[in-house]
Amino acid sequence: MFDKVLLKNAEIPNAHGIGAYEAAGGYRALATVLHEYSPDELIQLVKDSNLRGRGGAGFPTGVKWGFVPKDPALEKYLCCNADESEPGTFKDRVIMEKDPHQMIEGMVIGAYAIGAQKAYIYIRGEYVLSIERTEAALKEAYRKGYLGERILGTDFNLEMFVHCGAGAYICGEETALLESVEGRRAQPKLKPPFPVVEGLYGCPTVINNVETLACLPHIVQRGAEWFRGIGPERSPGPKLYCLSGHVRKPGLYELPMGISLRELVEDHGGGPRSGGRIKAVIPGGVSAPMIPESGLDVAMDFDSLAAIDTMLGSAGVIVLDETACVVRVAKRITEFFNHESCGKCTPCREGLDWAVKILRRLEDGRGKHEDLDQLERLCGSIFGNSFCALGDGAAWALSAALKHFRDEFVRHIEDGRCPFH
Amino acid sequence: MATGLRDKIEEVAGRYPNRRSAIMPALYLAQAEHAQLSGEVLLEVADILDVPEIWVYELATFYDMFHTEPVGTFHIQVCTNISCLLLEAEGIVAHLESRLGIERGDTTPDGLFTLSTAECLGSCDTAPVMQVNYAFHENLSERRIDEILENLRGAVGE
Amino acid sequence: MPKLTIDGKEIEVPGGLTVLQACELAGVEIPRFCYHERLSVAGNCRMCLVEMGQAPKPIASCAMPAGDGMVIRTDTPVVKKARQGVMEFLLINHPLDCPICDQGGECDLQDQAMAFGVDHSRYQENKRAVPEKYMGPLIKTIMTRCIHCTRCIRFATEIAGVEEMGALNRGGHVEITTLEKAIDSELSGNLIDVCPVGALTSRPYAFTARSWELRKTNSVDALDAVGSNIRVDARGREVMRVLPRLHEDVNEEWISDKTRYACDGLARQRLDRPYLRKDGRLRPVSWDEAFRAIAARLDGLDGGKIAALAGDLCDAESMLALKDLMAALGSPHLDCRQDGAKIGAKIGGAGPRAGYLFNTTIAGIERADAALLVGTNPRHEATLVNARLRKRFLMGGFRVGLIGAPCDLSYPVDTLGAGPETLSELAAGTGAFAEVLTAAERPMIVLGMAALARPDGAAVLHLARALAEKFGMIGEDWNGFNLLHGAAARVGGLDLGFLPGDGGRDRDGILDGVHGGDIEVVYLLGADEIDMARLGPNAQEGAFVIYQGHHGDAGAHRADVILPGAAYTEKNGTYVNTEGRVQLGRLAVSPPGEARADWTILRALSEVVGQRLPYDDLGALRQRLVAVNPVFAAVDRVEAAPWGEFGEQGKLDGAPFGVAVENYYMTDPISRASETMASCAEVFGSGRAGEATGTDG
Repeated sequence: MFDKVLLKNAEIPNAHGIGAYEAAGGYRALATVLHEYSPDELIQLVKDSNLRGRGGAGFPTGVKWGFVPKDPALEKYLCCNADESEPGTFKDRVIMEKDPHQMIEGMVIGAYAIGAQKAYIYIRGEYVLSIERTEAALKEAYRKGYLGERILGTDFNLEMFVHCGAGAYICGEETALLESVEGRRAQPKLKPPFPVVEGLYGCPTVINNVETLACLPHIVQRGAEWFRGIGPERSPGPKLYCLSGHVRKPGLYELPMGISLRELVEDHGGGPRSGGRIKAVIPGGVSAPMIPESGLDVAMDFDSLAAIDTMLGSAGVIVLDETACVVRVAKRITEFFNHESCGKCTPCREGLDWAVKILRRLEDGRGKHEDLDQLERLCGSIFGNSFCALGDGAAWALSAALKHFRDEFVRHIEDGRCPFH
Repeated sequence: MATGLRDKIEEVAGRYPNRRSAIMPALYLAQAEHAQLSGEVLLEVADILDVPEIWVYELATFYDMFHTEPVGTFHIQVCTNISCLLLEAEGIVAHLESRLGIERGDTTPDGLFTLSTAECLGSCDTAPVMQVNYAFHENLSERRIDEILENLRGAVGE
Repeated sequence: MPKLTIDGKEIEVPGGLTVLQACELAGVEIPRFCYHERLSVAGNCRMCLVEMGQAPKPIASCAMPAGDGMVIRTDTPVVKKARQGVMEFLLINHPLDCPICDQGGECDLQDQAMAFGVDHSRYQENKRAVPEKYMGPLIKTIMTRCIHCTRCIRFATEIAGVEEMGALNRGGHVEITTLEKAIDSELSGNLIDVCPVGALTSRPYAFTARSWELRKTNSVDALDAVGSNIRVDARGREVMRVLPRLHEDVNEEWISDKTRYACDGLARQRLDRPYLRKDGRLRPVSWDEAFRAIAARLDGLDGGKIAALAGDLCDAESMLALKDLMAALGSPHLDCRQDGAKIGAKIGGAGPRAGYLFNTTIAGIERADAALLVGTNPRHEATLVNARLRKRFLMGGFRVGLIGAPCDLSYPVDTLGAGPETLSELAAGTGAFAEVLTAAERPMIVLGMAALARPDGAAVLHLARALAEKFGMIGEDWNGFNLLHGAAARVGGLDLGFLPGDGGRDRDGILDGVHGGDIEVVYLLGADEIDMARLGPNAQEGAFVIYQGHHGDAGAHRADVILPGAAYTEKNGTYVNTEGRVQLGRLAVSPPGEARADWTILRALSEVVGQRLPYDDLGALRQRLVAVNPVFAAVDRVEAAPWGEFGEQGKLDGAPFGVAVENYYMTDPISRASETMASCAEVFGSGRAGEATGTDG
């Protein structure tokens, strides 16, 4: 039986208050870091832990920190990406609502590692309770001297603010997030320069996901080796899996990295709804291509999922049983990406709109066989050519639906109607 | 009123190294005060922050949560993204349409309700879900909807 | 110097280039829409995708720095497919209205669709329609054609320096807008040129001509002293439009709105035949009758009673012809400084050229590290010089101080004071800006005509000269001393010595002389900006006024004889810009009616008055020009002018420096005749004239 790490406090009543957090050992990691670690030692610790970013890309956190220029004259920023908007994902929300200090402590540790004196938490605007709890937690942390000037009596100063998103999925893309904080339209920026070199206000900036940051106090407290011992060596650690859709027990599950998708869905999630049979699973939010039932034995970690042409992404696991219409799901996913396209680049802006129009016809039973080839061509023209990962993700997800469930699309065309509705 | 808004905006502007960054929080504050971000309100925000008007317009129209068009007292937003879709969110929207007598995207003639569909609200394990203004309502059913609408109408009546 | 392999060919390129630029050097054409070499890189259109080494996806070549050892392929199936895909996407929502689009024939989208597109559309759905936007009297919008490249927004914010243009909404709903306001920049017309499609087109030019039916003539602008290189597009005898022509050292690839849009004034209020005032009224006459009337008036008149003033649009050839004629008639009274600027000469002798040039050169501004502006608003007086100052500001580390009327120059300026007093203090080394100038390695000073066209102008000039020396503005390879002229004719006039000769009178001397009865005949060569009242109400109670020019403006109204001349687009003429750069304007259309090229009028007149000028063709006149001053031989070459003594020590006036250009849109007879400029003046109101001209008047 796996002992919960990130969600350990969540079940305690009023865990979001600083009292409960401290009682459970909170902020001791911060004291350890500030008194016993140099920033470089801390970065090495995180490198040793093999912690990889939980936002979706899985980039090694310590390596990212290591790219930040050491020049003390340069102002640096830490941003927490709490814009959790990937459909099927609600893990960061639970951390912020139930245990915001875990994230804040992680942020202070991260800021110390990179030498940032200012940090912003970018929370999506719809998460009102998360915003409220985080704001309250920040006040408590300031009051207790975990934030502000001379933290815990050291020379380390840190200011931390919440910046609320306002309904734009693209803000989860890190450069768009920074543009949003700077008060510009949230459109992704060219890389290079990478944010670690030239980010917020032109200063070196690290952007880490909530869950990534929440891992930090535990790594400090229990060591890199402990962390590395959980799950696969190359992408270890505890992981939050969001389970939803046609599953008996939807919810947030904390389990080791690398658990099999089948075990997650069938054992922990209780399997499909009564009488149902699983048709497909989306393993990492809607950007992650769906896997047909036959592929469910894959391990839930960055590398294993990449090997079968999908991804761990945000670990938003959505289960589709046999009643689900894949055409409708594909249409809705594409509508989502089209709605959220920032409009910057041609393939995403124009290609997704075109795809939506075709998919709507297909779902209504007004499609033609040529439409399927056209959709494939569209995916080919978008994938790899768009400015950021939004267009890629949209095209990737749609191609997978076409690849695995082409017969469903064909039935819509031949029947002249949706066979499911 | 305006002075109050100015003070609040000034306070939040202090969190950032430049005034442009404060446009988003300022728009939230202005929206809380005026309900709708009309042209005059956007101009007022630009004035208070002393930034070009176009910057304010750019943001007010980029983000879904800023309303440059009028919205009802209760803005109902039903998530219709995949997790909710799979649990019949479309039926929830249809039920609301029939109960409110309007179609998605519209506002009731009395200005009380605006019905919208929304992208994923991050509450997938309690699907289907909706937000009324900022409050979440989870595990929706037609019966739950009827109760919620009754409560909202009652709240206004009081 | 990174070495790359592009399509199998090795090439070494200078550092700091992008892959796209490296490909160009390798002779490989890369299609693009959003990329523009003078704007920041956006990377949004995705048309310039190429394959790079082992990269899993094609890369945007406009945004990728060229690196050593890179292997780039632009000719692979992947690249071809990517380009076709992007092209198809750009066209699905683009209206196929090329036959009625003013961009037709000069449209990047049209051209690249031919080169990289497919021949049919697979798009079966409805196209998007976007409402038109109002952007002022100069720019017409057809926003459905917009391909969202954002060049316009980047031009407005980066080059023009106005935060008025932006994008609303997101995704496919994005709309470019100025919030229904006229875009408040004198560079706004360039938005039309940067737009790669027909979304932003010229409003005045709308539907008037197709590009392929126009006759194109390379020339230079004469509506300010920048000498912007232009192309004049004409159909028949009408100038249809004026476009910029690339000159890196002068206007780069931009022109100001007046340069571009005043051309409709060329067809209005023209003097197209000679006139003679009879019984108080101007009546059309033949050339012969007009010349005979002048000859009759000059007959027996002492040369000392004749004077000549040259205006702001004159070509050097006509000024020299008039100068020679005046000399032949025995008059030393001539002046090309109709604003009364105290520059170019002490009476009786030409001063050093460095004393009246923009010595730093326009491109040289980019090397400066601090600037002091004195009595000038370069935005209105020389828009492209101001654009260069802004460009320098954007490069960083450039402080600008201003002494004079406060104005918005599109970059931050420290306003130091209003008049000569502040200049004196600064010259004495007091004030914070003195430290800026001291710390600067290549500081510059820019004196506008508002600082010099005043009674104490010569003293201001002297003081400024001293200040320049004090702060090390004059060095071996750096001359930071600059006069900013507003008149295209001015430097040429000074160079050829259209100035008072021995015992001659300057402008004020001439005008005072009319009042005192010492001057009886005044020859105005396109001089419209003087106070005509000082010439007396008529020939009986004032001077006999000969006006030679092209528009029925102030000078013509006062004239006793009108000799219809040619506008700058209607003659081959030499102009010297504020830097001292000699450039040739070229005839694009013939002058209207009986109007003639100006030097030929003077040549013809000289015969009638019995003082035949010794040149029979333009070539001979140009030889004479070079003989008068060898600088005229150095076309488009700016050579450093030797430093020397100029200005006059004297008492400074306490009055603040005024404003040289009251209304940017109406500075000369052509722009005053332009309906387009009139509508601009109306839209921008007095704001453009004297925005922030001070606190309480």
